[in-house]
Amino acid sequence: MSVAAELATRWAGRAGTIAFVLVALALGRVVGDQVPSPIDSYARPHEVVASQGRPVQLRAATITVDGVTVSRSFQTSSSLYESPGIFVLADVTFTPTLEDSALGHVEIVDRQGRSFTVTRTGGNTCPLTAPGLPTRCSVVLELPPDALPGATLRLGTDGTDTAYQDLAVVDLGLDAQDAQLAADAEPLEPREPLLEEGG
Amino acid sequence: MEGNPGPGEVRPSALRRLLEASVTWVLARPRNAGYAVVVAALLLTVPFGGLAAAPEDEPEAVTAGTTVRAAPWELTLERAVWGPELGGDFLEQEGVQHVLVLGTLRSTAGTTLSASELGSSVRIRDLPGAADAFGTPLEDGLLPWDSLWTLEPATVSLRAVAPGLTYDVGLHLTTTEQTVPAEIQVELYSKTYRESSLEDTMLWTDERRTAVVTVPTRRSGPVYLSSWEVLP
Amino acid sequence: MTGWWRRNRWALLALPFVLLLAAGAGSYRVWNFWNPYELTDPVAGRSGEPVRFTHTLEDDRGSYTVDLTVTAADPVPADHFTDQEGMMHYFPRSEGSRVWRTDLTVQADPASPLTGCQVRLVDGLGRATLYRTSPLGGEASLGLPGSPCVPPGAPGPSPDFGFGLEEPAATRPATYTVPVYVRTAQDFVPESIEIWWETPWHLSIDVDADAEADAGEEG
Repeated sequence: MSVAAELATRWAGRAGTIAFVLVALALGRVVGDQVPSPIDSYARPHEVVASQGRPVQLRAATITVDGVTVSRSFQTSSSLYESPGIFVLADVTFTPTLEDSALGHVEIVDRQGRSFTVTRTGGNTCPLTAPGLPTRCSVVLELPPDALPGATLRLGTDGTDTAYQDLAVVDLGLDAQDAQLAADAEPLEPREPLLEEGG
Repeated sequence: MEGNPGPGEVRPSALRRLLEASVTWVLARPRNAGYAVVVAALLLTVPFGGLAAAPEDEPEAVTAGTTVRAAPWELTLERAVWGPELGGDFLEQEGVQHVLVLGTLRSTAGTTLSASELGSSVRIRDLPGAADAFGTPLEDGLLPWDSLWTLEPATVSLRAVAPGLTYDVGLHLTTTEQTVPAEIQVELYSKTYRESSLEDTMLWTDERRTAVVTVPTRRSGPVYLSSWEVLP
Repeated sequence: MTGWWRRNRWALLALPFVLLLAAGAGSYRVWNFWNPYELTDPVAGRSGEPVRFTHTLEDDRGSYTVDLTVTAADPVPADHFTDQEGMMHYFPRSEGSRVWRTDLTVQADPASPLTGCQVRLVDGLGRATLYRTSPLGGEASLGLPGSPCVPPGAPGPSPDFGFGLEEPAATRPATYTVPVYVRTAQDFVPESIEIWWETPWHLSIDVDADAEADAGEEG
């Protein structure tokens, strides 16, 4: 065989190997992207569905949504807020189980899958609480009127990243009529767990 | 005779010799073929400007009051007011003039966005001495993270922006100069929602200048109210 | 059925050993990821008796040693605290809760850095509540020190974490008493108080809480 032919054969062999490796890598990537990641399934939050007034037992705390009210405005001891949409206030009773904990995740999800979290200072009055101590507090979020029907409140104790968390999921029971009620309602007043007076 | 090509013989041109040498070199080692591909790719880019910086898209110049879609926001900037004291939380401060750029803000994202997310979407131009609420100069006009306020019924800061709501807002900054020009330029940047290249998180990033809004300014006295003035 | 058991008898015999081996192979996670971050290594004591605790830690300048002798009093309910200026402040009330006060008497070399300790109360059900000022509420949120083991007016030297903190002017006394206030559930009766600088080493002092004591009395 001539030198040129031998070189050509070697070259073609190497090129074939390179092409094979590249195609295998690309194929692996495509297949890997299609297969659902196992982490996604076990990192998904564990949802405990409950209705209003029913205590939900989570790993770190027991949470009860006592009631839900709506209004265009909401006030704290220091501020008055007005929303371009509707403020939704949920009264929450929150009792940590074994260790101090706080209501770290507060979210409303509407039918379209939009996620609403606290937008205003004072929108979550649930403080870091000692185990066994029932704290009566409130969360306030704002929604556009079209988000009210079918919206659910999702509460958790371990911060805004919900991976591996267990969440209390409570139907707010709101509908289009509540948007009208909100327009004439008095400003919402969140419950404050600590009462500022001498004992 | 040497040096004189006979009939039927073609003198190999310099180009041809170069070509032959190149082919031999490329075939000599597989590695050389790789180099050849890279060089060819580089040569192919020459007609498109090669390694020269790509020209930036000219941002759209818009007048005040026009709604600009700069993902994840829809921003309408209308006017700006300024003065040593604007009322509410914007009280007199040593050596600074308050500036409030007024308009409406709507988020087109599917989740509630922190007010600090607006920071990298807005840059203030042509405002000498531009500074944040405490008088610290702005970094390249970048809006500070705590500058988002709602003004009715009282001045309160807006910590986050819920999806689907149109807020009447004031973007608060200050200037260390004595006066503010009759017009200031506000650059708006669009961002893209994508996975971070460093971690497994999603973020709004890759700012692209989308529009420059010319906002008229007006000197004002204390016109806003603070929370304790409106509480029953 | 017996055929299946017979066929797999060797695998069945091996199964307990394989399970043990698998548990053993994963057990390093307990030591690497759980044990060092929990309070697993106590120095035990009881209230009213001095307990010595020494613990060598790292800061930017190298290592330093926390060395102190603590005598914990028995916890009593409290309804107020006294700030550095001698002003008395009542704790805000909260339905279903009470505040416990535990006095710690500390003997230590004034040159030993003791700032940055954490303290918690543990009850008979294993419930634990950390000393934190915000749940106490009101004036206590800002008026009480973030870390309770040193007198707030004369905390003594701090470890150097590169913050460039100045050494405080006042020298820490060699013996002092600091109150530790913790808001707990009404039915929480502390059985021990735990003090630490870095997990897993800690002081664990058994206490005999006096729930009937008058909350208004100064300890």
